[in-house]
Amino acid sequence: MTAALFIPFVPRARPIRTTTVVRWLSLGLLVSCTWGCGGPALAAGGPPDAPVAAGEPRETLVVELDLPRGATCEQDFDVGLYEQRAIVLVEWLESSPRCSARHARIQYLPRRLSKAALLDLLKKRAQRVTETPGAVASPASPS
Amino acid sequence: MKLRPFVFGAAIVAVALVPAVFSVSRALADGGDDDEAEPEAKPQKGKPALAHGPELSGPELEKKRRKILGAITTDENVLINVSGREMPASPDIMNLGRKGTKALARCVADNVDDGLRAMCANMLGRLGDAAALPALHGALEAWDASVRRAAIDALRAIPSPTSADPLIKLLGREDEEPENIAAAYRALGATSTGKAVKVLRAALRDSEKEAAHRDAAFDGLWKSRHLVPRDAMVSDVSYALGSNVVSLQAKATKVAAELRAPALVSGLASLMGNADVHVRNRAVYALGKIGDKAAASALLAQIPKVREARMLNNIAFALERLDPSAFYGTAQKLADHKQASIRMNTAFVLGDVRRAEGVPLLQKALADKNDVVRVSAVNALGKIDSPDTEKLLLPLTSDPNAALRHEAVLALYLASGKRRTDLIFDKLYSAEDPAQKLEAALLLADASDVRVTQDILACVENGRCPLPRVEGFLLRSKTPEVPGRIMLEWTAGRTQLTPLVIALKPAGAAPLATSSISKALAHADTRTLASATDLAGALRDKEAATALARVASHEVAMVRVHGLLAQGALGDVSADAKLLAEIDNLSASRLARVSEVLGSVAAPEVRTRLLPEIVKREKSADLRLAMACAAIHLAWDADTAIFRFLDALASDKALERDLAVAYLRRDDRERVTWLMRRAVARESRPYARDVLRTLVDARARKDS
Repeated sequence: MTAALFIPFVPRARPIRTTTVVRWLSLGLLVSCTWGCGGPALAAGGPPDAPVAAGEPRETLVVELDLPRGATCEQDFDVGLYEQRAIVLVEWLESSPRCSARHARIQYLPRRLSKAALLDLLKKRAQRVTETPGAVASPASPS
Repeated sequence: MKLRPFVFGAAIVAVALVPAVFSVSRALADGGDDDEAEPEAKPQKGKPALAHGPELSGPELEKKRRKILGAITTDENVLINVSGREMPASPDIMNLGRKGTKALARCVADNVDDGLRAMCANMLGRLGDAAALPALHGALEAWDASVRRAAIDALRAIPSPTSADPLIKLLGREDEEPENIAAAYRALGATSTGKAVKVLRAALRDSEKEAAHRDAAFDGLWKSRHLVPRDAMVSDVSYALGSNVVSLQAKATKVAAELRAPALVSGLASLMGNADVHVRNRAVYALGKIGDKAAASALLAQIPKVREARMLNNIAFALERLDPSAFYGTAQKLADHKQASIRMNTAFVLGDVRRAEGVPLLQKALADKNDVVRVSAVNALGKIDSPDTEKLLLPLTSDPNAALRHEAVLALYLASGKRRTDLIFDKLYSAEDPAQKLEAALLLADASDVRVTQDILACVENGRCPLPRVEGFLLRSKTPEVPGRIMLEWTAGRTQLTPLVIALKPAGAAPLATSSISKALAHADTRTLASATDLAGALRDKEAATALARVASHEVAMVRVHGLLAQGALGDVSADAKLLAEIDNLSASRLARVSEVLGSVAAPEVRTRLLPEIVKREKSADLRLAMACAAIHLAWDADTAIFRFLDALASDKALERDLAVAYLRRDDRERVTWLMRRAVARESRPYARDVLRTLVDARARKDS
């Protein structure tokens, strides 16, 4: 939908007034934006998931976690954590339905989220968080 | 004779159903039936004799068929005057790919044999080439109902906004066959147009219409939902819930679990006592997914009326989500119920929700008089991650009851995070019962226990082990004889072992692969040919070049794809362009398989060379090609390709969304699950979020 669609036909004999064009353009823009600016209707939650620039540095934190118990504890933890968009990926190091003593490698964007802030976030979402030795920083890699 | 009208009616129905039998749903990506031979179309009785000249038979007829087949790609009129006997077999025509579109379109438009017209329309649908649309639109006006039906189905397989008007016109005829009307509503839903939505909504809400037509209109409307404001869609689903048409209610309860709109709660709650088992179970399941606490009291009130395990479990799961304290209060009562089956199911549910609050109730159930309840409680305790589990279960590993003992060992193993392999080895693997021993061996293989290597190899050789279950163990194994024994099985015709052989790279595999290619070519065994070609390509055996050249020019298009891919793996860069041209020409029904074949290519340099062209095709207007290429990309680099799928899930085109769902379902790797979880958390486009949530939940159910 473009604003141009809403510009009315103007007879040649009549001088075009700049203010008229601007008014119609504004109206067109307003209507078109009401209908479709930004693509399909977006909720207030922000844009959908999008790639991170390849050059943006990433770091990795390996942790042992006790997750709040439930039938889908791993999924619930992931979905909650990913609301923070500086989290690139949570890789679970073992495939298990268990909720305690789980190991994860968390890739994040240090320019947007410090390690301390990430640990705070993890502590809010898990019952126990232990940073495991061997946490490694990885070079920027395509997301 | 009273039977005569019945026989006559049955004959008419049978004739009308012929094209429907040939039709295969094209909505999803998993199509692909080119290799299934179809019966030859016969000229229909009562039709004028064709000016075909004398009837041929035997070698002469075969020669004529080959001649016709050879002309299809160059002469668009070649199928106009053919008879059913002369028509080449449909797999042969489909093998020509889109080069056959023009001739098939003329067949639909100009052949006078209705059986052949329907057959050609059916093939056009499977080809998926939008160039066929005008001929298919024309066929909606055919006098013969089976031709119209084949055209409707083909239009559903090649959805286009241009088909909306012709389909609406067909729906406006009072003399249309009921089956065609239902098919047309579904095809209309695939066109993804506002016009279609209007017609479909009117049909859904027209209580004068047949239930089957309203069902089809609902399906079409749901397919078009991205064009409909969410409130309006919720209102349509709510209407269907309250429609008193059981088939509509069943559909509405199913989609309600995806929409998860609180406005649907009252409609769903009123269906909990529905006479139809699907309706009432789906209603409860949807209530649990919506998560509105207002439903809790209705669920609690329903419990005393329940008479089946599934319903009880669904209510319990929903309640646990909506109101945990009410859930455990109810579970307490159910755990003391006079019926053993209810006590058993209560234990099952307590295990599946995996919360420690269930442990005291399960501990009590361990002392139940009924062994089935005790076994269920043991199983449930294995699922709950509690420090008390070992203390409760360890004594039971020596219980006189064999079933209880067995379940206790398994439960303890699970509760230990699969670390207590000692228990499995000592208590189960030593059993005399071969089935129990195999079960133990498989569990030990999961834990990479080398003591079971011979059992697993024997189990693969006997064909008793599900391959996906043991592949990881065999790949991790350091036992020298593993690669050779797997290779031996492969040479015995177990082509499903090809990925494992490629990964294990047994010594001497390369010459065996080349010899297998020669043998398969000699015996026209296309299945072995494809596998041996994949293996020769993966092993990069230069000695295979001559054999691969024969494969790359094979008469079967899918075989050529394997051959060209293998040539590319051997470093023949010129094969890449030929491969891409083959893919562009392939029938749409073959693209899902092609995406699997290309997706499995491991050679990084082949991926690097092909990737730019694959990415280019991801944006193609031909959505089946686009999503097949996106699926290849997903297999190669899920982190990058996932975004194409997110866009597809939010597309206003039903086909694009359906293909994205089908390909995401097919790729069951953990990494894809993680990426989808990330997408769910960030997705703000309502319908895309709904479907992502449903996909992610389904993966969690599969893993648990």
